Amino acid sequence: MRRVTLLLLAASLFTGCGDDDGASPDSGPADAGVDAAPAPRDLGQERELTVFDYVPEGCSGTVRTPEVVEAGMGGETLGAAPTPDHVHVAIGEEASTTFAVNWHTDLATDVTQILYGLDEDAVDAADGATDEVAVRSGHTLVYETRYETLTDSLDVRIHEVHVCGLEPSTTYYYKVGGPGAWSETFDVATAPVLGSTEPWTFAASGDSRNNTAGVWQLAQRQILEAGADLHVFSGDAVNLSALQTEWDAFFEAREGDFQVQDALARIPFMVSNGNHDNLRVNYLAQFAMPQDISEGEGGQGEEWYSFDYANAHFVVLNDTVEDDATISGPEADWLRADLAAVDRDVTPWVFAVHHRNLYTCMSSHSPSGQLRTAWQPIYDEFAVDVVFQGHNHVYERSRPIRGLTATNEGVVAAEGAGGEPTFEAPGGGSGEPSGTLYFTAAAIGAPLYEVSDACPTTRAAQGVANYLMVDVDDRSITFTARNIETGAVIDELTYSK
Amino acid sequence: MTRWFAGVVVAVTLLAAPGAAQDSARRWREGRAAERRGDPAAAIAEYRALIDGDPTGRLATRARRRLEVLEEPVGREREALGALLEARQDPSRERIQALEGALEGYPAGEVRREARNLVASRWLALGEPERAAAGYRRLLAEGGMTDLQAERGRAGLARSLAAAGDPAGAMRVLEEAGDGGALLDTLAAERRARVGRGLSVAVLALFLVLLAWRTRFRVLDGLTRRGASLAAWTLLVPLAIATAYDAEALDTFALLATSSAPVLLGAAAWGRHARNRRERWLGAATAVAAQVAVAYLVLVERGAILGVGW
Repeated sequence: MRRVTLLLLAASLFTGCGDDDGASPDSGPADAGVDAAPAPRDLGQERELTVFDYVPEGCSGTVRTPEVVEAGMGGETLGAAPTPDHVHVAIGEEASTTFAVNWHTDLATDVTQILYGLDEDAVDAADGATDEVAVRSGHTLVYETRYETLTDSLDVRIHEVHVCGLEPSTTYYYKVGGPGAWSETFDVATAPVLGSTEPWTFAASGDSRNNTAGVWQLAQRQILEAGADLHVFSGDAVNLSALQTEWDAFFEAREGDFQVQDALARIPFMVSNGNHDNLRVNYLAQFAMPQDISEGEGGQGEEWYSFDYANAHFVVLNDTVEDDATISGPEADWLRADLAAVDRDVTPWVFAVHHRNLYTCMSSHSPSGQLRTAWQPIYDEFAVDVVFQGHNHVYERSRPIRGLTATNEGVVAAEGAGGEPTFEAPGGGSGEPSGTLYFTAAAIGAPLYEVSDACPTTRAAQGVANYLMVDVDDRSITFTARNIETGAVIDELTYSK
Repeated sequence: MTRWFAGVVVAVTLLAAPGAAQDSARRWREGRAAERRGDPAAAIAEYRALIDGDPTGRLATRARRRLEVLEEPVGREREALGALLEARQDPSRERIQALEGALEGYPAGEVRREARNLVASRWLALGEPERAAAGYRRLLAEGGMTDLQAERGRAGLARSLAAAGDPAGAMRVLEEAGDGGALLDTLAAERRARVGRGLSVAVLALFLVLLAWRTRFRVLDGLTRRGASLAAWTLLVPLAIATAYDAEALDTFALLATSSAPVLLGAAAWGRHARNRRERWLGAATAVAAQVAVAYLVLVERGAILGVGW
């Protein structure tokens, strides 16, 4: 008895200590992981599911839906509430010549069209194609989801259209829906031509779930007003991904006369999967992403992907996988192959985006040794400039890191006075950084955590609601982290390669 | 795409010559620099020139968005905006002090509210919670705020009061406004933790005293060596786990230990007075049921579980 007691006591003392490697993706603080609770029954289990694929007019890539209860090209039916909402834009193919739009309507509405052109008034006035306004059709799908609780269910109608053959660095006006039931008119700008040295800006954020005190919509307003061209999001959009009410709140959040759609419909929003999003059909069906299915990849090619924007290459990864071996197996293989194909003379900047942290100074959400082992050698080999992480609801910036010790700790590389990486050939060549910077900008609504800057790999850290603006101007880059509640700069770093 | 539309695209492309793109980029950089030094008028001029030179370009879209922010305030309010932009860029103590001093001279409105919010928040971050609380009170007195702005203001006031050593006042601010949320939960959890830790220490001390004086008071005469081990296990292990885990778990385990102690003592007392095997089994079953009930209520109270079926 005494022996058993001692064993139990020893086991208890070790509970909660150590790295989270090997744990379920939802392990962590008490508020994480609720989504992992088994649903009363599997979604769609009792209904036949289908996948629809096609090549949109003028585009080159195939668009595939996730497995849903209904999918196909848009029709002509208008339901009782056909006006689109949840309108948001993304990059589906080449960023300088295409964009993709998703929206939601009532279930009966299947008309799925976009009107677009260069003249705002003409688009605004049009009810179909005109001399100044073009029309494109897209696909629509219906998926079954839980609504308010994990025991009810609901069918949700989503529409998606891809527009290709556009001019680079140009502002287009568009509205979506169908004749007699259009959204308001939005503007979206295509990216500069690949390799361009024009200045451009993107926002990096993550973890909007729970939306504490309306921080999500406040940040979206600031990001729109700041003139961001692109927004990369490191996951955990909602708390319980299986509940459509949470997604409705995500897309419909508003403050005063501003609603998040005002920003999401204008700035391409590129998402990565967080442990709370969990690759649910809600997540896969509501966002357009580049779809290039690689071996071992799920989610119809939306589990991980890459895209170019001006003079930068982005890789967006999934670290919440069903089988841990995926991370060091097919996903790592894809990452290596993708980065090997990057021409650094065209896209000298390379960024990675994913949810969990390779580096963080939070003890309760400790860094992932598994990700370090699997991905850092690849980041190092291909001199990735920056990794944008989420998961920890704080702001953190690492020092430049290159290499791992025998105990899997990061090695701090040569750095400048501000903590920026150094370059062997400043202003020339491909400008390989001495090390990779790991940012965590992941409190755009989620409850805040406490963080320390005492770790040897940490340069800056604050437990405030935040997002990051990144200004890229040819070979120069400026990172500006802002406190969402005040707009104040909490960290800033500029350097050139 | 119609031929006309394609023609427009080609024409726009030809018009958007590389020179125009370079000029747009230069004006964009100039505009941003003017904003950083708190000069909205200069930024507006740059953005206007950018739009005139390349109205359909990507940077023109961005410039229009900046103009919506910069052109709405006029007169003294635009001056306030300049000071706000400058302070946001460099929220140092000196800059915040200067902004605070100038606030009363600015007209009431969105810009002054945002400036008050920045000032109050920065005082809190700079370790002056009383000054921050005063700032948040002035902000909340401004009026004209959205519900969410007011909620964030109250949260700031509550954080300031808590940092100033007045957690009860902080909770009062949130409770009177009907604000729930993470901050109130945190404050409530801290209060429970304080109470729980105190109770844990008190119960543990009482247990030790009783153990030491068991001969005199004969309270725990029925407690065998095995029973004493079990008692120590029940009380100490949760605290050990709590120490090794995080703050949220500490609250839960402290409350669990505190709540389990009466069950344990009751079971010990029952065991001492039980006259036969049947009564001992009855007491043991009752104690187990009571312990399960206590554990369940504690976990529900702490939000670790939501109820039956979760």
